[in-house]
Amino acid sequence: MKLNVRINGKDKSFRVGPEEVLLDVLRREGYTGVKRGCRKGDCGACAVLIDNELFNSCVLPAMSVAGKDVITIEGIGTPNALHVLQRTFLEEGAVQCGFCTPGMILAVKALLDRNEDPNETEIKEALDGNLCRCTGYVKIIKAVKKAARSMREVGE
Amino acid sequence: MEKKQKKYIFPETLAEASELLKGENVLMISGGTTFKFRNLKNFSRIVDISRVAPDSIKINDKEIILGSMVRIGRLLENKSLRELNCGILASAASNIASTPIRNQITLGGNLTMIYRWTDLPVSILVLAAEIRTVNGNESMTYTAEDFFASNPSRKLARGEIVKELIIPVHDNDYLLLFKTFNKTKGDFAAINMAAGYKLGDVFSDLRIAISAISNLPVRLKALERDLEGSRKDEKVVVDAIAKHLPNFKVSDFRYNSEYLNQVAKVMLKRLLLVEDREAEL
Repeated sequence: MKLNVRINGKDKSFRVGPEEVLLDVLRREGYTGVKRGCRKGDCGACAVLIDNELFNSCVLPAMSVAGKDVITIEGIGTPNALHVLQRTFLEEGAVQCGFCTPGMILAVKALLDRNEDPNETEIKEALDGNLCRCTGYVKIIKAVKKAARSMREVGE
Repeated sequence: MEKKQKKYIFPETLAEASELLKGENVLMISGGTTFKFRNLKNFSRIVDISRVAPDSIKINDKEIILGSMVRIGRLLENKSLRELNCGILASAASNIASTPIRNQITLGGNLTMIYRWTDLPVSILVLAAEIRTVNGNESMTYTAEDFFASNPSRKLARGEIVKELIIPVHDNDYLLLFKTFNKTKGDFAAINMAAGYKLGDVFSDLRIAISAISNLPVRLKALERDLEGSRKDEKVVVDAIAKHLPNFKVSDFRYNSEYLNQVAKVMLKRLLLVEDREAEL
């Protein structure tokens, strides 16, 4: 079947099987920043934004996103021009092995896009579907607060 | 023999979806949370109703009408739902899975698939809500009790689709409470409980529901009848619970049934005497 979808602002068309999940399609098409973790919807490593809301692509039927806007980590900043979230995660040491980081960044982006000044409870709730087994979350939460401040200041 | 091509179909109307679902080997999906875990070899057609089932939240003085495609995450975000009916629906919804999964799970799917640990049904039972379904041009309305009396996914006729949930808006003097018991916030519930009753010295218009420890969500009607009109007194409540709370047989790898039954008694007492507890605090 043909899947027409907008990924990171570009119209794309892929051949997909009706039984495929979005994660497998994205990785096959080169979006390898979308990580294959638990494949059960638990860990959030595969998280992407669909119409600006966070979803786990490992449990999402690929065809269900037909006609929608998908944002993967590849659509957030570039290696030479990091998004403020990516830069702040690095500055605050909120990245260790980095496997969970793409999903974390997208979860935080979804939060800050609708709430520019979240409190700590709101940050924890927004990240309740993203597991990190390295950093222990303290630095991640600190980075989110710092990024929120920066984004408010520059109106990003 | 030529292998039949599997199809993924977006119907254009609910009536068309109903007709498609009457075929053989058809899988219906709305949010699609369980899609990955189904044996898709058994299905030749996947019918995605997400573009045709209603996803509106309509609220007036008397009732809240939630479309079956409303995602669980929206139940938490909607300010009115956090306030009306003591915010019981939002409270129950907050226990469901995690942010990305709540963005995917739909109200209709959650009510129909009815996993034992599902958090919403006890609230829906004490809210005295109704569930409206459609099947082609026909419409059916179930009370929440009838809907959950047997497994909804088996009860619904071929082609029958949950369209909306209708919830009465209760007066401000009607207290509605939801409690859950699990190991961590993200864990599946071991016990879910909800109660509704009027504020005051005696129990009035009392409704109690329990799930997770039971195979299906149920009202505790014998207990409701015994306590109706009684004073909100600890001894009265404890005695009534001892007399009427069934001995549930459900257990899992986390808890044995004896432990769960003891916890259920304490939870229920606290739920029914919450006014006393809040006064103490």
